[in-house]
Amino acid sequence: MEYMDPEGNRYWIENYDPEVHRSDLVPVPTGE
Amino acid sequence: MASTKISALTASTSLDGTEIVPLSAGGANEGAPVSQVHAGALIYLNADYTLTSSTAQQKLFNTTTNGALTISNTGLYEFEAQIYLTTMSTTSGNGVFSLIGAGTATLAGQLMGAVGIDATTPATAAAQGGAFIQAASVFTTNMVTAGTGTAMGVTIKGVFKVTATGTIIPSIALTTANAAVVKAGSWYRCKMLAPASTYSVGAWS
Repeated sequence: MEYMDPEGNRYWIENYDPEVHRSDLVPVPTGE
Repeated sequence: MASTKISALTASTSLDGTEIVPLSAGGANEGAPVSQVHAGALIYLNADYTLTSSTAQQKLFNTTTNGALTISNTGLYEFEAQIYLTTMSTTSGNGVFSLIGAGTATLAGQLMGAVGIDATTPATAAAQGGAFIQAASVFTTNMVTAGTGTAMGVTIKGVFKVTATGTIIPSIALTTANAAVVKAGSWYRCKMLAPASTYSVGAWS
């Protein structure tokens, strides 16, 4: 799933893990 | 067993990296292979890894589930990596390396450079080109001189400070989305050079 940080940078993360990945990411709706 | 001064020990002449050296970690005494002390943290692709077709930053290594390294101490670190990608887009361009990806650590003082070849057959000798980036965790654009070739070999090295502990996820953002393949043999290593606020090691004056 693709995520975006507050600065607009995008990340592809297969399995989000709050202990590994930054907490301020929000999912990017599919197709955006 | 009687204690022996380290200076009285017989010097080894045939180290192979498996020898155990004593360490003091968090008040406990532990041992670690010489090779681990030398290498620091290391991750190596033992099998090809197909990336997701995306321009978002994504992990470079699936050797472990998250391809993430937990940094438990602030300080100055060095890193080095060699990455070999195939099945990239035929559109001119390659990608950018990110020190941290979606990791949780806080980095500062970064300086890194990349040198490589963007060509369909990087095994063929050619002029290498690349970029440097300072005070940022990710290159700004293609880290290797752009080409329409579908493969890239690149060596990246640099330093960074960890000012708040957490994870780092060595990552790549492709310039053009394609299901590129990170080839087996690609590797990354990272090692602390000095504790926080220590900016020289050795008999500097």
